[in-house]
Amino acid sequence: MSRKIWIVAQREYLAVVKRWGFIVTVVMIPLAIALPSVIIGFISAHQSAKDEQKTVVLGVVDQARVTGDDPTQDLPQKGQSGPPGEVPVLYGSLRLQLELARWVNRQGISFRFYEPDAFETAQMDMKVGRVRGFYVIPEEYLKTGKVIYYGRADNVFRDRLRSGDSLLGTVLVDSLLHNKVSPMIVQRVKSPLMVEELTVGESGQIAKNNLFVTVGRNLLPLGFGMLLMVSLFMASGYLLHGVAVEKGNRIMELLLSSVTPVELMGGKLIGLGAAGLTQVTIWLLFALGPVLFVLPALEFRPLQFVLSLLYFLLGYLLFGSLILGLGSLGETQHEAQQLAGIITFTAALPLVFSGLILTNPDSTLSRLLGFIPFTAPSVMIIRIGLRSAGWIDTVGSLAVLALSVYLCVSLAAKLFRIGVLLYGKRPTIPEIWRWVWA
Amino acid sequence: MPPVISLKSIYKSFDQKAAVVDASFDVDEGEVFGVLGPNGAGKTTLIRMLIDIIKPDSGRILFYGHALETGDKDTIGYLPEERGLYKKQKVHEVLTYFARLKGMDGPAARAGVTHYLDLLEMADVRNKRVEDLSKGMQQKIQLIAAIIAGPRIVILDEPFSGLDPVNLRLVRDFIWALKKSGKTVLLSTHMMVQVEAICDRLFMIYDGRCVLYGPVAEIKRQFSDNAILMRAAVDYARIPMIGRFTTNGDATKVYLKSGFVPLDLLQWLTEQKVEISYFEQAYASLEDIFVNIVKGKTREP
Repeated sequence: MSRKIWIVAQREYLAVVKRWGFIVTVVMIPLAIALPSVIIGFISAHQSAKDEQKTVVLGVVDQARVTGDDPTQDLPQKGQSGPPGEVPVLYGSLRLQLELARWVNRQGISFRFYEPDAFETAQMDMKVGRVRGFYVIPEEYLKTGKVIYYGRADNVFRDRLRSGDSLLGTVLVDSLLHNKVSPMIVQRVKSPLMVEELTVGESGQIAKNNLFVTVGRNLLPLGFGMLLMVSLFMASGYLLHGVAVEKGNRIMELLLSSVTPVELMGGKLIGLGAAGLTQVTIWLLFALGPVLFVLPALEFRPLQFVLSLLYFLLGYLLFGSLILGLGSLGETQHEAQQLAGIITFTAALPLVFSGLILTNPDSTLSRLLGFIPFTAPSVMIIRIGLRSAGWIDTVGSLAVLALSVYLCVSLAAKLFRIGVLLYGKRPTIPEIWRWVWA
Repeated sequence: MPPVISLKSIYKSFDQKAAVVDASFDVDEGEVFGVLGPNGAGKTTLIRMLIDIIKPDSGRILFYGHALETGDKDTIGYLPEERGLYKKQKVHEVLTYFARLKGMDGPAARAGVTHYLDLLEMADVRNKRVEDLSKGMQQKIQLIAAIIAGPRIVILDEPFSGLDPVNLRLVRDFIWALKKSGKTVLLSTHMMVQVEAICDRLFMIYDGRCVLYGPVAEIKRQFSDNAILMRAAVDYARIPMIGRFTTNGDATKVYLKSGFVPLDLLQWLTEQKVEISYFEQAYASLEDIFVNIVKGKTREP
């Protein structure tokens, strides 16, 4: 590669990273992201701590008499505390187990049981705020399963959200099965599945699935994919800014008397891509804590790393050259950004499909996207990470991508050669078309 | 030895409008060659093709007899019409960058920057940002950028445009110094007076086409009337070899009849013992020649 490309790259890189704007962005953006999160986190933690202190009391009018012969007979007296540190349990049934009591405590919900004919009392209690709302278990409940909830018109959603329904369900299961089946069966009805996940490795070894391993396996491909996106967006800003400045300073002609448009474009791509990567790396350092946390679980596969890097570089060259080529046609940075916007939009497109690719990396759509040059880099990085890309897919996709990079760089160089010398006039689409085919 | 630059039947059009048509000329080693023409005549297009910024549609451009190669750009110093520098950067950074782009290594480039800044007594602006310099200072920096790498050929596009008299002289002296040091200089300008003063040969372009090409002195002679500008104590109507004469101020322009040369007039005046205080062959200025050509009123030589 020409020595001049490296001279241009070096200058472009230093011109960006030595700017105050760069230093401010590098430090300020993580702070700008972290600070509101910390503040919001602090406020919500404070709020939920306050909420936990408040217990929501819901009434139950058990007209079907399913929660016990006399649901209130075992009711602890008002004000009487439950186990240490727990809220008073006000429901009448003693059939709830400790586990449920803990759950009640965590949810901050407790029940007040009424006599089957005490509908009006419950209604009055709700009016004066003694209960937030109340359930009525009608007489035909066993036949229909239907339970009615009465809540204040302004607050129904919030009460229900606090899981009163499922808590009452557990109470009902306990009550209905009490003394009819063994406590073990009661336990299984309440909690029928406790799934343990095991994985079978390539050589048949069975291992316990670990959340960190799963995250780690997906983290590298996703990380590379995200790195491509973020670096591209960073670098595209610098690319457009750099061209706009050089056009504004009328310096292009002097540069082109020493270097070819391809050398100038190549130098810019390398230098500003490196500046974008520097920025992302510094941001990653800010997130070093969480990264170190999952690092031991990361599964490092050299081939995956090399292929991901290859896709990353080809992807960057593909998008970067087009951004530069189209951006050079604009008179100002704003105009350049508008022109290059279509490319950055295309680059972000795979993000829309990322969920689909992660869950279905072998689907026809995932494979197809791997062969489309604009989606191939991020899609294939994810597929390779998930070990779903076969050799045919990988080699074929790389070949398509490499050819596209060659075509795009040539095309962009043509646009760039003409675009950078255009002062004070915007080319029309037919003009651009003619230049491309000239 | 082949010419330094040789253009052969160059044609270039933009959007089906011809910008340069059938341009051919040679630039010889060590001469100052002027590409002359009004604004929009095609001078900058021609120069951009010379240094391979844009490609001609047809025709050939040769450097020392061969097509421009990658390394050839390093032997060409260039001062574009659209002049610019990185405004936010320091003077020495900008100059070092341009020197390195012309193939110099880092230490040589830095030494060159120091040398030229000292030579132009500008060592104190070394660490200043370009935007903090006066226009004249920036002009000097641009000139340094064009020659810092020691080019064999220096191409200057409209080097006099927008200059005050002080900087105009600076640039003229600069071109003289280049010529003296043996460099080949190609300059384009619409300022005909400057070409008359500096250039050895010229290529005059109008509407993309060549209208004049050759040594400046010869062209002027070729396109001049057979006239003398003189001041003498004599009745001009009595002089036999004069066809007509016009007096403008204290000098009189006399037009010789066909078949007479200035020496004939001078000999006659000497024989008649006429007192002469001023006698000069009246050449047409390039501007007159150009205007006449454009208006289609050129006299046959």
